[in-house]
Amino acid sequence: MIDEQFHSSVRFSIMAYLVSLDRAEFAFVRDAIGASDSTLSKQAAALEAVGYLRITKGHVGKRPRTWYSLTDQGRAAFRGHLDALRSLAEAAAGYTGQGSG
Amino acid sequence: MEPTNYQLTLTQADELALRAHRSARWLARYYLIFGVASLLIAPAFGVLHGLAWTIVLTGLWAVLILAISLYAAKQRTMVRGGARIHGWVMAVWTLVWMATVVLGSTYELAWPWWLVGGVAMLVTCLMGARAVLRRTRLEP
Repeated sequence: MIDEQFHSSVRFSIMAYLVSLDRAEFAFVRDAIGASDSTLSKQAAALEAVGYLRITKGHVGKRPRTWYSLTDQGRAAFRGHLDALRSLAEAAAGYTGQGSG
Repeated sequence: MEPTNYQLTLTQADELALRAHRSARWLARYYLIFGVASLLIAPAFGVLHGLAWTIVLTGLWAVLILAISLYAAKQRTMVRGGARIHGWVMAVWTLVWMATVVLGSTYELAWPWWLVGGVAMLVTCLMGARAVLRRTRLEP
């Protein structure tokens, strides 16, 4: 099912990056998806608010670290969203094929 | 979203997943280093006897454990199910290590026993590495 939470490209990228990981550190996600610190923080907070993302703060040595991980609910929602996109892409390809055939 | 963008969005998701998978393969490298080190150090305990050698080998082992622990602490990602894989690998490795050391020392077994123990530790680590690599392979 298409989930409007993932209409934002940054939120979609956060989910796509984290879906096969247990967790990833803030800076690593930021660099991977090419977002600014503030954009990532804001969109991650939005995903946390709907229960899709878990934000954990801690330290490695003296350095503060923020870790992101998907909740089961978030992982299921994103997989459902990808399935819906695949169906739409196949339908669109079929329609284009019919139109040109 | 425009219909023509669906495929583009799915491709973007695949690329990000691939990037995530690559970043999480460090755990497989960790197991490879740990396994090879076990293969070398276990027979060394069987061949090199005496207090001095025990101190040297224990010191070498402690340095290696410290180094790979620092390597692990610096990593920024963890593969899905990584904690469970690590728990299993470490539990089995510890059992093999204890069996190798306790039986080898108690019965003063010759070096082939220690080599077998080292191989068993390497195999344990390779199975962990395989589990990590399987989970970081992009699904078709």
